[in-house]
Parts: sequence; C-alpha cells; structure tokens
Amino acid sequence: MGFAIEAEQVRKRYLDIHGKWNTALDGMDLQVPEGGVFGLLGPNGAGKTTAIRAMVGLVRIGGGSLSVLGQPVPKGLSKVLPRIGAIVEAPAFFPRFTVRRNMEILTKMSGVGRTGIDAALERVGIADRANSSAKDLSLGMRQRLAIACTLIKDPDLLIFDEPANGLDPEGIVQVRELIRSLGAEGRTVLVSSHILSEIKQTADQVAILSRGRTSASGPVGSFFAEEERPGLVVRISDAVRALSILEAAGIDAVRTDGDGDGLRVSCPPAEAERVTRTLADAGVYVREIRPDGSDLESAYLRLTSDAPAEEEPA
Amino acid sequence: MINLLRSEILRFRSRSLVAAVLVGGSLLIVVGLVIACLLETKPTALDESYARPDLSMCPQDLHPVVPPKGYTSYALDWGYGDFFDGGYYYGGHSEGYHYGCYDEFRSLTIVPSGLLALVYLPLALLGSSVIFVLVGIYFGASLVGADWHHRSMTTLLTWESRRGRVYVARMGTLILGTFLVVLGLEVFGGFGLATAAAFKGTLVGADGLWLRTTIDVAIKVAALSAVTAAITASVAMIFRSTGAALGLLIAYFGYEQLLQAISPTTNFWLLGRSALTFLSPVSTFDAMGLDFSSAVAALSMYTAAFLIVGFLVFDRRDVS
Repeated sequence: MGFAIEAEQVRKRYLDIHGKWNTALDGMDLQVPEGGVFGLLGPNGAGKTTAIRAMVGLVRIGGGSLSVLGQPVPKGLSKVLPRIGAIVEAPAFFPRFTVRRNMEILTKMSGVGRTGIDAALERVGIADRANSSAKDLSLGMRQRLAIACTLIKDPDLLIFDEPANGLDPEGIVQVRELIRSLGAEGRTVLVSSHILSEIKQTADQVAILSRGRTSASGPVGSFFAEEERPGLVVRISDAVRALSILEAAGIDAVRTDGDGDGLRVSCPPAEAERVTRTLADAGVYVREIRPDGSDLESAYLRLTSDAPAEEEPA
Repeated sequence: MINLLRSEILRFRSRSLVAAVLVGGSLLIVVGLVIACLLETKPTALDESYARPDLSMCPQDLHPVVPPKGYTSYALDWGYGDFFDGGYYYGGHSEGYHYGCYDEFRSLTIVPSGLLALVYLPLALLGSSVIFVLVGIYFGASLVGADWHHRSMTTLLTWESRRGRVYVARMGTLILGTFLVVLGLEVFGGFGLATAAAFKGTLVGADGLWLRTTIDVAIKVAALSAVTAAITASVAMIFRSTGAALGLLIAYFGYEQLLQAISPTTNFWLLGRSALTFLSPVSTFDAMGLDFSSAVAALSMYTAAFLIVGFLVFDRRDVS
C-alpha cells in the first residue's frame, strides 16, 4: 500500500515577536496510507494545524522531509495540488461574495468547470444558499461551503482541519457521514481534531500528535480497543486491603493513583453490586463507585502528555 | 496562468468597492453636470465669436497674447517653451492681462470666463487626478489587505501554491483594473461634459489638438492611479494589512510635504513630486530640477522596487 502523505522528522519553528523560537513540529513522523479516513488527533497546540499547513505549502518546514501524493513539498506540490482539497483551520472566503461566486473564483483558478458547483453544494446540503453572501452564513454553513469547495476538484486527497468546529450536533453527524463516505469512495481523507470521540467515530487510522511529535499511531479499532475495556472506578479508604480482597475473589483490579484511594476494577458496570458486596462482606466499605468511561480520555491524555508514549499499538 | 488571471479578473469585477466607485463616480459626474447646466447660460454669439481660436493672436515669434478683459486664455498645448512676465500656463484665468506664448502650436482658444466649455476637460481631469489617485490607493490597499484580513489568501493558496503566479496575476489584474476603472470614469465624464457643453455651453476649441491633449491627460491620470494602486498593494502585501498600507502612504505624503516645506529645492526623486511632474507640463517644472523623463524613471523605479519587495515578502513568509 502506498502512502498519500509521508513525513519524516519534520521540524518547524516560529520566531515570536519577543525573538524567542517556538517549536511547532519537533521531528514529526507520519504515514497516511492511501484510501480511507486518517485521523490526526492531538490537543490544541500539538502542531496539527502547522502540520497541515506544511502539507499544503503554506509554511516551509525547517527540517526533515515531507511528501504528498508522492511529490516533495513544497517543490513538487504544484503538480499534485489539483488533486488535493484542503481546509486549513477556519474556512475563509470572500465575505461579500455569494457562495456561488466564491466557488466560481476558485474553479476558475484551476480551470475546473463550473458544472460541479451545484453538485458539490447539493452534497453538503447548502444548495439553497448558493446565492447568499458568504458573510451571512453561520459557521457551520461556512464549514460546509469549505467542504463543497474542496469537492469540486474531485480530489484524491482531502485534508480537513477540525471540520466539526462550529457545527451543531446534526451538522457534526452529517459531516462525519460525509467524511466517511468520501473515505469509502477510495479517497484519502486526513481529518485533524482534538476531539477523541470524533476521530474514533470517523477515522480508520489514527495518529496522535503531541508537542510536535507523533506519540502513537495505528488502526483505530485496535488502538482504542485496548483502552476501552469496561471497568469501574472505586474510591475506598483502605485501597491496599481492598485490592487483596478483590484479588482473592477473582476480580482484577489495579490501583490508579499510586498511594491514593483509587482502584480500577476490571469488570462491567453491571457487576458493581458484586464488587461492593465482596468488599462489604470483608468489612471494607466503598466511598464511591462509578463506571469508568474515561479510559479513552485517560489514554489520550497519557499519550499527549510530556512523557513519551510507553507503547505504540499495532 | 490564464486561469489565474480569469479568476482574479472575476474577483476584481465582483468587488463591491469597484462597483461603488463606478456607480458613485458616475452619479457624482452626472449631478455635477446637471448643476452646471442649471447654473450656466447658453453663450451668446458674441461669446462664441470671442471663443473661436484666433490664430492671429498667436504669432510664431512668441509675441504675447492678451485676451479680452473678462475672458480666460486657455492654451491647449502645454509644451510651452517659455512664459513672459505675468504669464500663465494651462487654464489660467484672467484678471486682465495674461501673456501666453507657445512655440509649437498655435491654437490658443479664448473662452469667456466661467463658460461651460469642453476645452476645459483636460483641466478637469487634472483637477480630479487626486481623487483618482486616491481611488487607486484604496483599490490597492483593500484588494490585498482584505485577503489577509479575511484569511482568503489561505484558501487561494490551497488552490495554487505557486506564489509567483498568484502575485503576478493579482498585481496585473489590479493595475489593469484600476487603469480601466479610472479611464472609464474619465471617458464618462468627458462625454458628460461634451453633452452638457453642447446644450448649455460651447464646444469651441475642441479640435484635434485638444483631443490629443485630452487623451494624453486621461491616460496619464489613469496610469498614475494604477501605479499608486500597485505601490499600495505591495505595501499591503508586505504588512498584510489594508490599514497599514493606507497609513503608510498617507504618512509618506505628509513627510514629503514636510520635506518640501523645510527644503523647497528638494524635489528630485520624491514620489509625489514625480507624480505631479508626470502629469504636468514639462516646462513648468524644469526650473525645479525635474522633467518628464526623470519623473517617469522615478515612478517606474519606485513601482518596480515596491513590487519586488512585496513579492519577496509574499514568497518567503509563512502563511498563518
């Protein structure tokens, strides 16, 4: 399988107004396979937007190598740009022009005919706003317009930077389905987001970016499966004793916060009653017990923290 | 490149600013001419007779010309070799005696003062050149500054990554567009004045020489507007801001005025002075050390320098 995007040890620094260098990309490695949806996940400031800017030639990388659709960036970018549709950060248009006029200006730039405009607007669900000024569109509508603009190129590679930003729940679902359908058509779709659940529901593959580096990457299924084992969070006064009681009862548990009072019990939330009864029968009483729905978030936070990733899922 | 140009032209002509300038300018011209028609009276036969070009008053040996009292001497040609004491160059109006002489053309037209006369068109164009130059400055600043303000430059560059092409298309369209908009308004104004003069004034003196002079002035004013648009757009590209470009241009012209006040002989290579010389009769400014050729050279040099610096900054800097 080929790669639509390959980045190796990509570095980028910015000089701020105080004369201090800030590192945006600190040796980022990335391989985005052709076809399907690839999620670029990371907290704000992780370098996602800088990485995307570098991919479409808006910023020049300071080191490493970067290629898109087999062409080195920025040298060969112009050869493949007609095959790339990209939204970088918030969608930006000529605000006083109509939706259609904005699209016409872009289509003329690349010699793409105007025939695809209506179909693209139809596909993103804003065909009825074709004659509205871009400034009169809501953020969600502008996001859809931006996606429509990328579609009129009929691109092989789509790059969406935080496409769910500003969308209402219905819009998020629609954009998610659109992205999934684009990936299913055989196109490569790179989606960046800081929202874990969004990537989980949209992408086939994921890479986690933290402080300008890729801390983990792999197929979404196996990546999150490891972190999604059901469990219970238990707060208890004597965690050491509780641990031994649970072990004796054949229930897996681990301490979650070192010397603190927290345990993570590996069993479905439906078995909370069994856990509390086991502990109570032994004279240890639970202060708090709840389903552990935050494991995914915990994993995300762990992977995006300062510490290097402990392991990379296959 | 052709596609880029087509896209830029579409964008330029879609801009509400361009439409506002065209519609607003045309309306102002129409209103001004209607007011002039209401206030003016049709010249009498006597006026007309005085207004005829009087070749006898234009001796080839550079004798002074004395227009009748109460009448304006208007010379269609600005290529004077000299002026006599009390002499007046283009469009001078009288307090009695005006001495004009010319060594190349003999087409002095004497027009009654205040008459709605088509021969004044070149002067009207010159008088309104400041407005047209301001239009060029605003076109240049806003066309580029708006892209950075609204971040649409980011979107454009995801469609065409070769910034040199984007820059050339943008500046080329701006220069050509500004030139055509200004020229269009000038032509509209010219036809408007011709119509008004035909009804309530006089067309006398509007001969071939006048037409040549008018075309020359109109093209010069439009070209100067386009040049200032290019310079301002380059500044806007450097600072990525409409406000910065407008502010810097205004500050510069203020500085130039200050420099002139402090040192009146400092004219050479000043942008504003070069622009004036470019528009004005050559001999008028000979004494100040500038002539048409050096003015053109200075304007070309400034424009090229700003365009090159603008491109280098645009090409090298990251787009964030």
